[in-house]
Amino acid sequence: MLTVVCMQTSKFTRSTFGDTMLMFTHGYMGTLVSFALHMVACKRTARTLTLSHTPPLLPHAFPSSLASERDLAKNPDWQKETDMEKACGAAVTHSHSEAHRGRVRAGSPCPYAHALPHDLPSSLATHGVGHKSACPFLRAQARQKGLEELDEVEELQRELSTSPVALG
Amino acid sequence: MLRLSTAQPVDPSTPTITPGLALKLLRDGVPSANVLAMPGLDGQADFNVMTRNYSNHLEMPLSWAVQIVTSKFVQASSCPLMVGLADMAAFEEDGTEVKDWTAPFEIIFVPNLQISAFPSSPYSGDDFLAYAELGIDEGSVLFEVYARASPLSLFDVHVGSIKSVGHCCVLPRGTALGQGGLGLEFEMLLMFTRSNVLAC
Repeated sequence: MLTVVCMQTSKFTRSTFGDTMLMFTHGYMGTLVSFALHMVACKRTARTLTLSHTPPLLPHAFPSSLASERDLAKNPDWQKETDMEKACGAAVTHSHSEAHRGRVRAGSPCPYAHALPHDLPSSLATHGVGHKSACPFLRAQARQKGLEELDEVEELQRELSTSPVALG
Repeated sequence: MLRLSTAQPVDPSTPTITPGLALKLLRDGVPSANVLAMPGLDGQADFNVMTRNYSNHLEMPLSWAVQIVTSKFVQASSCPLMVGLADMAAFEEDGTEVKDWTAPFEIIFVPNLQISAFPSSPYSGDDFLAYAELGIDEGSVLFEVYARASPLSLFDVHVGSIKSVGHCCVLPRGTALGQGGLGLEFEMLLMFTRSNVLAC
């Protein structure tokens, strides 16, 4: 049974000659390495997507004409005047695990994520990322990662803003 | 154009109806302005759909089944219980872009209680369409529209009325004007209306 598993998880064929434990280890480690590389790629892609929201969007390219993100970006005071978690329905995710909530936050990390640049107040529009970000999620993330990470993020943003290839 | 519909199939055995409205204002050269409003996501036992206010801000549903649906919407919006008005405010009727637009926090549709098209007792989905088709006269004021500037505004401002300029009509699904044809999913009923503020 173990041999069959090994053959499925490893490209090596020596497992058929009895070296099952070794090959299983190779297969398992190979899977781990692949998973780690995948996660690194995903993290890089996610960061690139997060930072590349600054190019102006055409009005008709806006994800949904019914989305509330632009309203919230235009009126940041609204978030202070009301319980946004209750008003937005974020509380519905409380029934899920922390991991699930983390995925939800990662997928939609900021109420400004879909805002058009000219909707943002000037004080917010000039600060796209890091500790000066208009997005509470990104601000908290930046605080956790420290200034060194911020420098890296800002450098990446500069690359994106000057390189059409990177933006594409 | 105004669509009256139910978010869930009418179930006389429960009995519950979950009414909602979609207002579509056509604009020249740019996508139409749309807004969705409902009294609530949990539905109501009173089958007269012209008794409760409709709003673009909904409260968290109590039903666990609807909560699951709401949690699914979180994948597409960080604020699924709010329908934004920015797109509606950002373009004029002639398609001109408004650079420094303003939009209210909430828009409230107050039904005209004089309209007695819909009974309070349970009825079927087909009857819902028939009641609307037969019971709402041309020229009827359907809703008074109020706007709340911000969450802490003390007063709602009356911004207009929605008045029918024709009879309700049922649009068969799958036709050019039916489901999906006008970007209004689950088309059940379409009524041509005119607002004294947002002329269409």
